[in-house]
Parts: sequence; structure tokens; C-alpha cells
Amino acid sequence: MAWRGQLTKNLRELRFLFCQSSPASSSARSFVENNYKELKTLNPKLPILIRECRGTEPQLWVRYDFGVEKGIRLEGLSEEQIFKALKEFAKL
Amino acid sequence: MGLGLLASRALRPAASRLLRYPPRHGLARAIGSTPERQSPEASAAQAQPDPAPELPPRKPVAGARVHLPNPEDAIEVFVDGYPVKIPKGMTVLQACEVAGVDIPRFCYHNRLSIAGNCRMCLVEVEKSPKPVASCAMPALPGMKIKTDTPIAKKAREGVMEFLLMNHPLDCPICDQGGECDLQDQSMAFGSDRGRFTEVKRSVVDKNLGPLVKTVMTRCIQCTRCVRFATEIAGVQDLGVLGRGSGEEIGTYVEKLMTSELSGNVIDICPVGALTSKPFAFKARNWELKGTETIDVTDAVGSNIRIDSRGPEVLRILPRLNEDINEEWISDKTRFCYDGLKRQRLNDPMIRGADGRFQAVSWHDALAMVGEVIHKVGPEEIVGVAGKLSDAESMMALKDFLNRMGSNNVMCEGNGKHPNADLRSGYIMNTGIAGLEKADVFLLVGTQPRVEAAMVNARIRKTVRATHAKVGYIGPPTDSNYDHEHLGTGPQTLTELAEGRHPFCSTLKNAKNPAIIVGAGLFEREDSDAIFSAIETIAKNGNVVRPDWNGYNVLLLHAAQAAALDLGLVPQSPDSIKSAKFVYLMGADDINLKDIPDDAFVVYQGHHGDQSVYRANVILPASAFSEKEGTYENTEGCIQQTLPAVPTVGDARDDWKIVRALSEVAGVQLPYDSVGGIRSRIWTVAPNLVSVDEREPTTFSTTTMRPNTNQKISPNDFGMAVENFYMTDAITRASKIMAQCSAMLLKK
Amino acid sequence: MAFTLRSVKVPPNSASLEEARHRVFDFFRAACRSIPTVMDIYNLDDVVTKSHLRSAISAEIRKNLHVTNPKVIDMLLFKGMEELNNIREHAKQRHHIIGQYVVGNHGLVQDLGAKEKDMSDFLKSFYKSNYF
Repeated sequence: MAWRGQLTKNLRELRFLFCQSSPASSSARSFVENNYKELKTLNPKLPILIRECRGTEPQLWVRYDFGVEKGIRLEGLSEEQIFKALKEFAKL
Repeated sequence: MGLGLLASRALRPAASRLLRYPPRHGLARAIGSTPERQSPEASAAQAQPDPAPELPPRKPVAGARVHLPNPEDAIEVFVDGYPVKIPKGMTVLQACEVAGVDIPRFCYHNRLSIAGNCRMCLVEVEKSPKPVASCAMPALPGMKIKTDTPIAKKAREGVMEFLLMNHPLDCPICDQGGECDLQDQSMAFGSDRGRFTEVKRSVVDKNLGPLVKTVMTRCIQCTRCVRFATEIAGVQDLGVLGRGSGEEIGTYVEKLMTSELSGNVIDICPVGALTSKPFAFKARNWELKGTETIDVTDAVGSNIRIDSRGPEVLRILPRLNEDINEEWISDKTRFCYDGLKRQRLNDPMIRGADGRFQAVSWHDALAMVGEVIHKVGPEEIVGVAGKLSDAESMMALKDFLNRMGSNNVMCEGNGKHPNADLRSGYIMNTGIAGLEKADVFLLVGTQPRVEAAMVNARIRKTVRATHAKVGYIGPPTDSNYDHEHLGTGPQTLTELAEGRHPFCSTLKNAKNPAIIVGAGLFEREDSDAIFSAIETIAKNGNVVRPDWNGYNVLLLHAAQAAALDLGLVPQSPDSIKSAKFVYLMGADDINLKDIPDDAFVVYQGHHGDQSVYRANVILPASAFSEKEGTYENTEGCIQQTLPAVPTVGDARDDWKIVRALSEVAGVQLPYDSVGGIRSRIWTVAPNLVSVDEREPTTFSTTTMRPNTNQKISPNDFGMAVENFYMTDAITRASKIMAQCSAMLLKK
Repeated sequence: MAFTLRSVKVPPNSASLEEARHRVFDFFRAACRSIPTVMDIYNLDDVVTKSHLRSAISAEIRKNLHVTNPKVIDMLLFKGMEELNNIREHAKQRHHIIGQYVVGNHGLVQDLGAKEKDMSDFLKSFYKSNYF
């Protein structure tokens, strides 16, 4: 769990995109609802952007130094799987 | 007023009687004797009346949609024989509009109270001894309204004749010619000749300021301006003096119209009595090409129509948008256009060794910038987006600087530690139209009258209609509605958060409380603490609920919302003080003293305002009237500007400059068209791509923001906007705005 | 000999830079007004558009942007009028026009642009104008 506080070492920006009401984004919505506060308290300087828009597929985007960006679709992923993906992104 | 349908109906000859009743059995129509009358059997045989003539289905005027709030409560009236269902409180004129009949009027306006003094809207109603003023008469069930009978037509001709009696023969020199209601209606409804042989009366002109030109002789005393000033602008400057033909509209004392909505009386006046002073004698309306765009002088994003002739913008008119600005625009929006002609940058320039600028070609300018940017380390590169930047250019700037290794891209006005995480923390969650449902307002550190005049007009509308209560925390200001001045600084906020202030009970008992926070608070050092105090107040007052989110932030600049959506958050807040390469994209209001003396500054913008004097390289860009850009207003509604005039000189669009620069610097951006940039924006903030839509937010900062340990400083709240008329590069370059700020500001 | 040598109506001296400027603009207007005739005479409809010729004329005028002496401007205007009259009277031929004004400098400079060959299309059109 300690890696959650070390996100700013490699990441420069975190973005969650999802739809406000569609069922495909429900896991993304619940992830944000449950974990945003904790993640932000541990990484106060890291911009964690939550962007909702009707009809968007749920995605997680991560920005590293020099503009390199990586993203994955969050459709159908459970909360632990999203955490795992985030951890993988933070390592690289 | 769209009189095409109206005029064509008036000029169409009524169906001739002869065609409906052709002579029967070869009998010519004998006077008084027809077969029907001679024998009862024949008349019984003919007794069935003509089946109701197949009336073509009628649509409401201008394609409006009629909303019946309670369908059971709808009344049915007959307009020219056509039955139409209308809601209960409508007037006869509105019923005729639903039926597709446009009745001529001068004094009636659907957003003002009813006066009924022009008498042009007279229609004949069955069982009424005289024609009735349709704008004032409520429609009763079963009423039969006739608008095209000889009585109604005679009434209109008579009224028109009376109006024209004292009206001067000014059409050739009147600015309203070509778009004048009096001209159009006299052509459609007036008689062809007048009988007036006396001397016309004339009235002395009033001085209402540098914006509104008055020729009071042309006034027809419809009192629209008086009602607008009293009701919507909230200033009771104008009034009617005198009686009969000696009636004059004016301010009784020598007073200028200082209201920020004073330019709207120009649109409202049906004749050329009140016209635009800067636009006087410049053009006729048929020469002008109208382009529908968005205003960027403040964060409201009022819809406007730019009228241009060739390469010059000649005037700005409002467009109807029920959600944002209804039909009004503020004076700053309306009259800032002459700033687009002055102080324009049109050639790329490089500052030579002697400190003077030299015009160079784009090739050389970009080559120089590309060279310098590689000599600097990534942490020393800073980008600042300006107040008037559109979303595409901010995206390009952020991408470019990120690829160069810098994470310090910021936008003016968002403060040093902007929190762009949750959208509900920086937009107006209720929506501007939604403010009408609120019944208690708490304004914290914001003066809507100077920051966003249209939001202020909406608050005033709510206060007037429902007697909503308004509490205000900030420096003393005057506003056009009754408000309670709760305090001047954060102490009042802490008192409210802890429940000690008497206003807390008002908030708790409110059905739909709305808290409006000013974006000026972003600049404070203790902004986190202040916002957490406001969030406590919101939680205690039950301001944020699933069906109603009353927590609003009123932004100051057009680019702020899009910048925060795109994530223009600097990594280190004071990066500008140690920067070696500063890229200013239209940023004129940053503190230039913060930039170190040996830093290389690139200024990309359209006006030579303040930052140009510090720049080393100038790259000319296009202004909002010359480019197609996406802007997000303070409530989160995405709108697009369209180019109305061609770019000045050798200027280019902002995003194109950044894209070309990225290629010259070796980190070519992956897109080279507008579509490409929009797809990129779609992966960053997808709501910026859906134009004319407002995305509601899901998570509110009241529950989701982490706690902060900051202490609130005791400094009082300041005024974010000192001079309403001069807030950005375009308005500072405008002569009209300079005149206004000299004459109309309250000292 | 039906040479209708249109005389240059410009008297030799402009009083000031302002007057010389106005003369330049009048010259530009006269040149643009004769573009349709020129295109008709030399059958340039397939080769070039009117706006291209207008830009070519303005580029030629802009080449002498730096001149401030009214007498020099007058002299350049005289030469310009002479050239314009020659073109109008069909004293030149089609290949002259195409070589001097249609292809212009681009055709000659193509070899010198070797270092800029790796410019993308975007950058090339960016340098030319804002609208592409």
C-alpha cells in the first residue's frame, strides 16, 4: 500500500474519464468515490483529474515526463483490477 | 421582429366570396332570391353547412415550442377560426402567436411587463364592443379572436397614422433604417397616405452617456426603455415626463445611464430614438454580414452576433439563448469591438541587441524560439495561457511543453495552487438558468455586477420574481437588488461555518439554497482553507443534494474553465520566479516583475498590451472574432466562436503556431488539423468536445475534498474586478471602453 | 502601327511620402483592375487564378517596402506603369507572364530549399498563410 503515496515519483498526472450514468462506468465511478480522497491525501501535489461526460467509455490515463501518456479502458474491471493497473503504471 | 409572415398575410387577398358560392343550377345570383330561399325543401337539402374548410395546420410564430405546464388546465380559443390550446394565463397576443399569427406591436415585449399604450396590437374579439389590446387582455376559454377583419385593419391603420403624425422624416439619417419596426409595420399595416398638414412637435435630446445616442424627437413613447431600466437593469434612471403630446422620456435630472446593461435599450427601442453612439452613421444593416459567435470578455459566454463589413467588425448584437444570456448582453460585450482594431500585432518580431523590435518572417522567428528552448533545462520552461485563450490552443501548448519536459503550464487567474480535480469545484453547478429556481443566495467574495453582468441579471430576475434573499460577503458594493451585507471577510465565513451567524438559519430553511463563490478567491494564499469553510457551510445548509447542487463558482475569464478542465496545473507554484524560458499565450495580467531579467520570453497574442514590452519574441495570433475556437463558460457549457473577419496582417491561429513551433523544435505534435486537436482533447476532457452541451458533475467537493490544515488569514476579501470596462487586452485597447470608464464608473 | 502607348499620367514629383504612398495604392488598383483583361489576352484561365495574380503583384510591390525616398518611389512607379502597359498591350508573351508572375520566385528557389525539404505539409502551408 505504500506505493500509493509514491505516485508522484513517476506520474505527473492521473485522469479518470467516465460516463455519469451508464452501467459500463459504474466500477469507475465507485472506484473514484471510494478512493479519490485517500489517493489525494497521500499525493496532494499530483493532479488527479476526474472528467465525466455522457457517453464516454471509462478510461484511466496516466501522464509521465516528456508528455508520454498511457491509458487503459476500465470497462468491466473491478476495483482491485483498477488498483493493479494503477500500480503497474506507477512503476514504469 | 420577423414580419415576413405578417406582411405576406396582410398583403394576400382574402378569399373571395364569389368562389365559395358558385351560382347553382345555372342561375345567376339574383338579388334577394335564390332557390334555397324560394322553397324550404331545397334549403333543407342545402342545409348542411359547408364542412369546416380544411384549415392548414398552423405552427406557432418563429417555430416556437409551446409548453403546457398542466395539460388539464389548457384553454381552447379560436384564432381566425383556428382552434388552439394554450395554458391558462396567456394573453390574446400570445394565443395568436401560438396559432401562428404575428400581431404588430410596439410597446409589448415578452420579457417586460405589459404597458398596453401603443394600441397597435388591437384585434377584434367577438362579443366585444370595441377592439381590445391583445397584449393586455387575458385569453378566456372559448374566445373567438379575429385578427384580419376590416375593423382590426382599420384600427392598425389609424394607430399607425397617429404614430407617424409626430414622427420626424428622419429615415435617411436614422441609424435604425432597414431594421426599424415602425418602417416595417407601416409598410405592412399602415395606410398609403397621411392626412397630416400641421407642424410636428420636436423634443430636446437627452445625454445618456457615451454609449446610447438619443434623438428623442423620434420617440413614440412606447416606454419599453423605461420598463427595461426599472425591471431588468434595476436602475430607475428613465421615466416618462409630461402628458399628451408633451410626453418626454428621459432622466429628470442630468444623469448618465451608468448601468452595465444600458446598451440593451438600443435593441429594445423599436424606432431610432435610442441608438448606438459608436455605431452612429457607420453602416446600414443590409451591408453587414452577421456571424454567430460567443463573447469572451467575461466568463458567461453570452451568445452574440458580430456584424462585419469586409475586414472590420462594426457592431455586436445579442443572440437569443434562454439558458445563458436570454436576449441581453452587457455593455462591455457590446462595445469592446473597436479594441479589435487598435494595438494589433500583425508580424512576428524579434527583439534585437539594441532592445528594439524588428519584424521578421515566421521562419526566422520560429527558428529562434526553437533554438532557445533547447538551451534551457526542462524545469526552467514555464507556459502561461491567457484569459482569452481557446481550448484548442491551450491543449496544444500543454502538449508541447510537456513534450519538452516541463510540467509548469498554468492559466491566468487560477491562482498558484489550482485544484482542477473535481469539476464541481470550479464551475457553476446550478447553471445560469438554474439560478432562477434558487430562493436564497450567498455571495462570497464575488460582485456579480462587475464580474458577470448576465449572471447578475439572472439573480435580479429571481429576486424580483420570488423575493429571494441574498446575503453578501465582501467589500461594500451597490447592486441592483436588495441584499444583506453580512460581512467583509473570512470572519463572517467562519461564523457561518460554525453556525453562529443569523444567516445560517435562512440557509437551513431554504428549499434551494445557492452559494456563489468568486474566482478572485483562487488568488489568495489561504484559498484551500476558505474553500473548505465554504464546503462546511454547504454541508450544513444541505446545499448539495442529488436533485439540487447549489454550490457554484463564478469564474472571471473565458479561458479559466477550459484550462482547469484540460489540467493546466503547474507542478511547482513559483516556477515562474526561476524560469529561463517563459511562453506567454495571451497572458497580459501576470505580474511581470516575477519573471527574472535573464529569462527569454515569447509572447503569442493579438494585442500589444502589457506583456509585449517584456517579450523577446512576438508571435502574432488571431483574436476571438477571427478564429474558430472552443470556449467553456462558467457553468460548463461548451460553445464555439466562428471567424467573422479575416486575421490581421501575418497573424496565425494560436494552435497552429504552437504546432508549427513544436515541429521546428523537433517534438512534432501528432495532430495537424482542428479535428486532430479535438480528438486529442477528447482523451483529456471529453466534455469539451460536445458543443452547446453542459455536462452535470457527479462528485461534489463537499464530500470528496481532502481536509486541509491551512489557516484562514484575516485579510478581507478584495474586489476582483476594479474597472468593469477594462479587464482584458481587447477592452483595454478600446476607445469606447476608455470613454466609459472615464465617464460612467462610480467614483 | 497601332501602338497605343498609354502615357504614364504620373507627374514626375510627389510632394511627400504620403503622396507617393497614395500613388502606389492607385497603381495597385489599376493593376488589379486590368487583371481580367490580362487573363483573357494570354489565356491564363487554366494556369492561374485572379487572386494568385493579385498576390503576385502585391509581392512585387512589397519587395520595395523599405524605400522611403519619394523620388525613388516615383521612379519605381514609373517602371511599374511601364511594365503594366506593356503587359496590357500584348507586348509581352505568355511565357513571360507565366515565368515572371505565376511561377515567380518559387520556381527558381526550389533548389535553394534543400535544407527545408523535411518540412511537413503543415509547416509549408503555415508559412504561406493562415488559411489552409
